[in-house]
Amino acid sequence: MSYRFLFLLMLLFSINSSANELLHVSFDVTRELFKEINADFKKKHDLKVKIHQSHGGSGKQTSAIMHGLPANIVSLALPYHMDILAEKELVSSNWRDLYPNNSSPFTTRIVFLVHKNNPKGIYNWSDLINPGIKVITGNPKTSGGALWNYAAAWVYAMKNHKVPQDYIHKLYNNAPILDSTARASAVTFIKRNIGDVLITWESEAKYIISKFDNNFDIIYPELTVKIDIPVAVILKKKNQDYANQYIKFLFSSEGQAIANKYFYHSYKHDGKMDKNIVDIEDYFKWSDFKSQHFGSDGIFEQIYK
Amino acid sequence: MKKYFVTLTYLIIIVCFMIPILSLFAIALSEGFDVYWQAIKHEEALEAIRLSIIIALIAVPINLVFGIGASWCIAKFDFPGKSMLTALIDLPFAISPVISGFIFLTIFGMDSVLGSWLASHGIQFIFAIPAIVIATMFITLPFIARELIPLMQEHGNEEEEAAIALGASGIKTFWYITLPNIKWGILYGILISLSRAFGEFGAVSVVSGHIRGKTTSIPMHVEILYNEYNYVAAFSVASVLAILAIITMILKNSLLSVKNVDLEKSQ
Amino acid sequence: MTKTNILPFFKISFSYTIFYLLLLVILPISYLVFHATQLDLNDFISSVTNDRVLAAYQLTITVALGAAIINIILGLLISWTLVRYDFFGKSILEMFVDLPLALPTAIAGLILATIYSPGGAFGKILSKLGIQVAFTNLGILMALILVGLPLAVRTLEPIIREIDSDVESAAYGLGASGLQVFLRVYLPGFMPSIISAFSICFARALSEYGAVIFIASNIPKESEIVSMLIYSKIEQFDYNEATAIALVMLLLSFFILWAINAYAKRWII
Repeated sequence: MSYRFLFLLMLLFSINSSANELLHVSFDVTRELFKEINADFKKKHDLKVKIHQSHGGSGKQTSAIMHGLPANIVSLALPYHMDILAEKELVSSNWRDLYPNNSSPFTTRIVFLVHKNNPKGIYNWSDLINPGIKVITGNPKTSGGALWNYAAAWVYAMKNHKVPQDYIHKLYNNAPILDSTARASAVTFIKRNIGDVLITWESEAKYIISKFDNNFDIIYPELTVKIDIPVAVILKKKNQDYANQYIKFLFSSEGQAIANKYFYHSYKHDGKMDKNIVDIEDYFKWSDFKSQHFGSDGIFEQIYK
Repeated sequence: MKKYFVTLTYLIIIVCFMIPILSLFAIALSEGFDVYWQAIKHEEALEAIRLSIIIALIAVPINLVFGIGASWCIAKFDFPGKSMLTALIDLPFAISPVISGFIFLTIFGMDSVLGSWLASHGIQFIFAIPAIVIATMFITLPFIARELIPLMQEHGNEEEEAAIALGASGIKTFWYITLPNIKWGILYGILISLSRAFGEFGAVSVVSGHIRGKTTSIPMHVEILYNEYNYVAAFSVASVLAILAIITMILKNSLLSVKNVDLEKSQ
Repeated sequence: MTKTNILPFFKISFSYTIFYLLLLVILPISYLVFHATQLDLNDFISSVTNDRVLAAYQLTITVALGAAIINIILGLLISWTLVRYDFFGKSILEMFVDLPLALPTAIAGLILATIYSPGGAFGKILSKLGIQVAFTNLGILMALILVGLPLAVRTLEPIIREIDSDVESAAYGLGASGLQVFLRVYLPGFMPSIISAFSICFARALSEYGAVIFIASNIPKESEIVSMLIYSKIEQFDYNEATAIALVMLLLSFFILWAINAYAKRWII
C-alpha cells in the first residue's frame, strides 16, 4: 500500500532530471572559484542551463564518480586521478591532448603557510622534520592536494636523503592528523589552531591570507612543485555541448581572469621561470608512484604500521 | 537540600543547554539581521531547506503508520520473540548514523547487484534523493514506536477489551478508545521524528554525494558554509533548525500541560 | 499465561511490522553481515585489530561509559528536582531539558566546538583556568553528556513520580537520614529505570557522530571515535575495512541492547 506510493515517489525523484543541468564534480579548495566562474559563465552565455557543484577530496570524488556520482564535468586536483577515470572509460583516453597545457586551465604551486612572523622558523622541507614541529597535511588517499604534498616531499627526500623513506617517516610522524580534504586541513590549522605549518597551495594560502587579515605568512621553500589542475568532460552524458562550452570558458580570458582573482596562475604562465619549481612527471609516472607508495606494502602504509 | 538541588539544576541547564543556543543566535546575528537573512535566502540554503522538508514529508508519515502498527501488536499482545522484536525496532537508534548510511551505500552503490541494475535502467538512486530518503527512514524508524509502546502498555487492554466484548468493531475500538489515549504520544513522536529527519547528518553525509543545492540537506549545507570560513552564514542557516527545535520544545511542553488538564478533567 | 486475547488486528499488525522491519532493518543489516563474511578472514581480522582501530574502540567505549555514568548522576539530580520541587522558572527549565533531543547533532556539535574553543565564550574562561575542552577528549565527553542528558532525565522521571510517599514518611519517621532513605528506600526501586537510562545513554554515546566530530580533533590513535574512523574508511573507499569495523561495532551495540532488555526483566521481577 504505502510501498507502491513510496516507490513511485522514489522513481519520480530518481529519474534523471538532467534536462538542462550540468553536474560539475570538483575537489575541495575550488569552491569559491567555481561559484564565481559558474555565475559568469551563465551570464556571458545566457544559457538556460543550471550548473550544480559537488566538492570533496579529489581522490574521494574520483571514486565517487566511479561509484555512480552523475558528473558531467570533472575537475580534479591532479592528472593521476584523471588517468584513473580514463582507465574506466569515463573520460577520453587522450584527455590531455584535448586542451592546452594538458587540459589544465589553471596552475599553482606548493607553499608553506605559517603563523604570523613564523615563530617556529620554518623555511624549508628540512625544517619540517625538526622535533616538536607539527605539520598539517592531508590524507593522500582522499585528498589530491595532500597527494601532491606527499609527492613533493618524496621528491625532496630523494634529492637530499640517501634513504628517502626516513625523511617521509619523520615528516608524517610530525603530522598529528590527516584530514580527508585540503580544506579540512586548512580548517584544522586556522580554526582549530593545531599545527605550526600547513603545507598547501599558493592559491589557497593567498586566499586564506586575504580572508584572515594577515594572521599568517607564506613561506616559499627551496623546492616546490608545479601543480596542474586537469579538467575533462565525462563521456556518454547528456548536455555534452554545454559541457564542452563550459570547459572552453575555463580557458577563455574571462575564465582566466576569475582564476587570477583567486590567486591561480593562468595555464599560459611559464612555471619554469622559477628555478625552484619542478615537474613531478620528470621524476616518475603517477601510476608507478601509486603502486610503490600505496596499497598493501606501500611506503606510505609502512608509516602507520 | 532543596536549595542546592535547584541551584545545581539551574546551573546545569543554563550552562549545557541555554547558553549554547543563545550563542548560536548571537553569532548568527553578529553581523546584523541583513546578513543573517541573506544567508537563509541564499539559493543553496533554500534548496537545502526544500530538500529537508521533502525528506521529512516522506519519511515521517510512513514511520507513523509503522509506529502505530508495531506498538499495537507489541503493547497489546504477548508472543514469543517479543523482546527480540523490540530490540530490532530499537536497533536503528543504537547504530551509528555513519554505519546506517554505509549499509545503504553498499546495497545501492554501483558495486552491488541492485546498484548496477538500477544504474543500467537509468535510475539514479545512490548519491541522489532516494538514497537520502531511505537512510532517513531507517534512522527515524524507532521514534514513534518507542513513544507509543510504553504509553499503550500503561493504558493496558481493559478498555479495548471491554469495547470488543460489548460488540464494537476493531476499527471503531481503535479509533474511539485507543487513539484518544495515545494522541499526545503520536503528536510528540511526530515532532521528534520530524526534528530528527531534518537534522540527520551522519547517514546523509555518507550517501548523498554532496551535490550542492541538490543533495545537501540543511545540516550538510551548514557544514559546507563552516568549511568555507563562513561562520556567520553557517550559524544563520543552523538557526533555522534551532528555531524548529525550540518550537518542538515549546509544543511538547504545551502538549504535556494540555494532557494534564485533560487528565484532571476526566477525573 | 493462557489467557486468550480477544483484541483484533494482531495478525495484520504483526505481519506488517515484521514486513517493514524485514525490508528496512533486517535485510540491510543482513546484507552487511553477508558482505562481511565475503571478506578474506585474515583481512577481516587485521582490519579490526590494528592499533588505530583498537584505539578507536577503546576511546569510544570509555568516553561513552563516562558520559553515561555522568548522565545518570546529573539525570537523577535534575529529574528529582523537577519532579519533587516547585520553584520559580521550573516550566522553562523543563522545556529546555528536551532541547538536545530536537536539535540536530551536527548543529549541537558546531556550537559546542565554537563556544569551547579558546576564543569562544566558555573557552576563554576555561583557558584562564588552564583547561582546554575543544579539540580534546574532554570535549568529546561534554558533547556526549549533552546529547544523553535529556534521555536520562526522561527515562528517570516516571519512576521518581511514582515514589510512595507513605513509605518515605515511614522511613523518616523511623529516624532515617535523607541519604539513608535515598539509598535504602528509593535506589532499589529506581534500579530498573536507572539500568534502562544507562543503557540508552550508553548506546547513544557509542554511536554519536555529528555532535562529536566538530569538537574532537579526530587524531588517529588519540582522539578518533569509531564513527569517524568508519567515515574515513568510507571516504577512502576502503569498503571492506569499513564493513569489518562496522560489523564488530554493530555486534557490540546489539548485544548491549539485548542484554539490557533481558537483564532489565530480571530486575523488575
